Amino acid sequence: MLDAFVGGLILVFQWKSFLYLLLGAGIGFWVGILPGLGGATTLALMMPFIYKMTPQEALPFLLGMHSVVQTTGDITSILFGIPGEATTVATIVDGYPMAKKGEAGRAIGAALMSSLIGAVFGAMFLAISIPIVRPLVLAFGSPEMLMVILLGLTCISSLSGQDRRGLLLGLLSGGIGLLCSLVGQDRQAGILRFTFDSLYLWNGLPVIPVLVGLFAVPEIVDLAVRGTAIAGDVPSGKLGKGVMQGVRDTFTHFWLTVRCSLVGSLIGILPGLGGGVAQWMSYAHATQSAKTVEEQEGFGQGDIRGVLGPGAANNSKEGAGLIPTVAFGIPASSGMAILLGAFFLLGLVPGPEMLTKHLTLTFSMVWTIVVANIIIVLVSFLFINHIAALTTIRGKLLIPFILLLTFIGAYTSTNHIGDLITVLSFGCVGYFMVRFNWPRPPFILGFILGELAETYLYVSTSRYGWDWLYRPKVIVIFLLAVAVAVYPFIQRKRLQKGESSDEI
Amino acid sequence: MKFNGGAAMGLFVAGISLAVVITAAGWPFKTALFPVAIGVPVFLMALTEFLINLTGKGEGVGDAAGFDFKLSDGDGDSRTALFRTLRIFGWIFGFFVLILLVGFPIAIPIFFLSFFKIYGKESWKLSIGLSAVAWASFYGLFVWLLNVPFREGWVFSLLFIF
Repeated sequence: MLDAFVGGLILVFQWKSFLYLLLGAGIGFWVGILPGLGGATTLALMMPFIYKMTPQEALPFLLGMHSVVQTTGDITSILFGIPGEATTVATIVDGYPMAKKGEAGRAIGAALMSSLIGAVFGAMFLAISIPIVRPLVLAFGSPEMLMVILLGLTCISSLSGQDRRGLLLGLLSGGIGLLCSLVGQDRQAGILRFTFDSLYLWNGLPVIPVLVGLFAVPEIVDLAVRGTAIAGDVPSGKLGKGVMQGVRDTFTHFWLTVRCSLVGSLIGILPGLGGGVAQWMSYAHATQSAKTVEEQEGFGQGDIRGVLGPGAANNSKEGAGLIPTVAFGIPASSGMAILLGAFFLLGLVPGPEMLTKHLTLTFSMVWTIVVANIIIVLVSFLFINHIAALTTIRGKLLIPFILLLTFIGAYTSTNHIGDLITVLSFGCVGYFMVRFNWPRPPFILGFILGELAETYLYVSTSRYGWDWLYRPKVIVIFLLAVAVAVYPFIQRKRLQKGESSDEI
Repeated sequence: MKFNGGAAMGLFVAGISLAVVITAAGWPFKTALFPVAIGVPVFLMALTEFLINLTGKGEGVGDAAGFDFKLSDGDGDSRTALFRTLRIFGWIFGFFVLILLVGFPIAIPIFFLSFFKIYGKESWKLSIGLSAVAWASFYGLFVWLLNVPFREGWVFSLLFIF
């Protein structure tokens, strides 16, 4: 095992493999920055180039690209409030307010460093899990997966604000997200639901245009109303100075970063849940780290922990996502499904063979994720001052570029004019939600989890009737979900009690 | 009784969720189960939100609602904010209509140039320069390098027919 582990590292640093890794990471860097053009799409675009490559060349190329997309996706989320990736939305919630306060450098520094820690954690998680992963993944049937989704949805209470009214608005927002996830062809009976005779809606509302519209359009409107640069009147020289502060923040909150990496890895290992869920769950966990009511209310206004948690989680889930892909041929996400296609093209068959005959190659994937992320984070640090300075450009000059990124990012989702209509529609929805204090994060969680929840509910009831409710693992996860839902209220009470006793 | 924007939003969502439940009632059980299970609680919650706003009990407590930013107030003047909001929405929809009419490659320079000149009141030199940068970046990356298929505008489709 140790031989294969070291052999994997040596394999990555063979000059040809390393060159392809650099090339892949370079492409991933730009893909992450451009909104909409996701890691999965780019993997698909790059597939024709690997036909003549060996596995030792193709895997560093593809994986190097795919594993850094989340890292640089955070940069766009922080600077412009536009999700660079569907899996970098949660970074906006605190990252963008930090950019508005002139702390773009600090936010990016923290996002990059936490991403690096997350990536290393995920890769180590993969390395350690390889021998023991089989029983873990196979232990989760559709009822347990449904309960994990319920666990994700209970994060709504953590993302909804601090009182009963906040919870009402959060649940409503999550409910609308779930309703939006109903659009499209029903998977069980093939009945078209709310498609309004449009072929475009048969597959449901595409995620990227919905996310981009919901988050980018209100930010553009706000930028126009303020009439200033994103960073207000903060001098450009101050922006980059916080970079090292952001790095220090990562280590100040090191255990939070590690815990959020663990959340990302555990979600990443479960097929189908994806990075969006991992990010929101880790954000919810980060909010629970508040020690005072004031601190708790600071989330959403630019708390560094709101950047660290999602930053770590969306990278750690990449390494973990390889586990079911490599060990069982079950892709954990759409990106992993495409990577699985690449495996077959290269003559590799996922399964026990990858953990025995090709173990060195499997470990080289672990190292590829680590090395690619280290390189990209170092390169990003070199340019961080210039990147952060974008937030000082006058709003009137920046708005058309942000709008173009928004439209192009959405359009490249399915290359259909419907993508633009979706952006505008959800842009209006997002604007009204912000205007009337309806939180948007629960909407995203509901929208992402709706389709999965329905599928697992149907499969569970079809296969086990209602008996699945009594499965021990289901009960354990359900109790955990109840604890997660109730915790914010207990925490709030505890914090208020603590503060009032301090005053006495 | 006060019918404000928040009440309207609650009423709108209640209407949508009610429509979902009514529509789902005509579907087979396995198709309707999830929409009804979601639609009914959303309807009840939206109705509660509507009533809270209508009775005026909701004022001031919305600030507790979560991790999201607050919209700016346009130099402290709500009329200015409203005017600027409508104006920027006009530009956003204008860009969309332009794309529909002439397609992305032509819409981009037209939109950028007019935005910088009319909205931004920038100089011709800067407006033309930035428009060129935007078009070149778009064309170089998405058309030339990535071969993303962009639809041609309605105007050209009609010209082609005739």
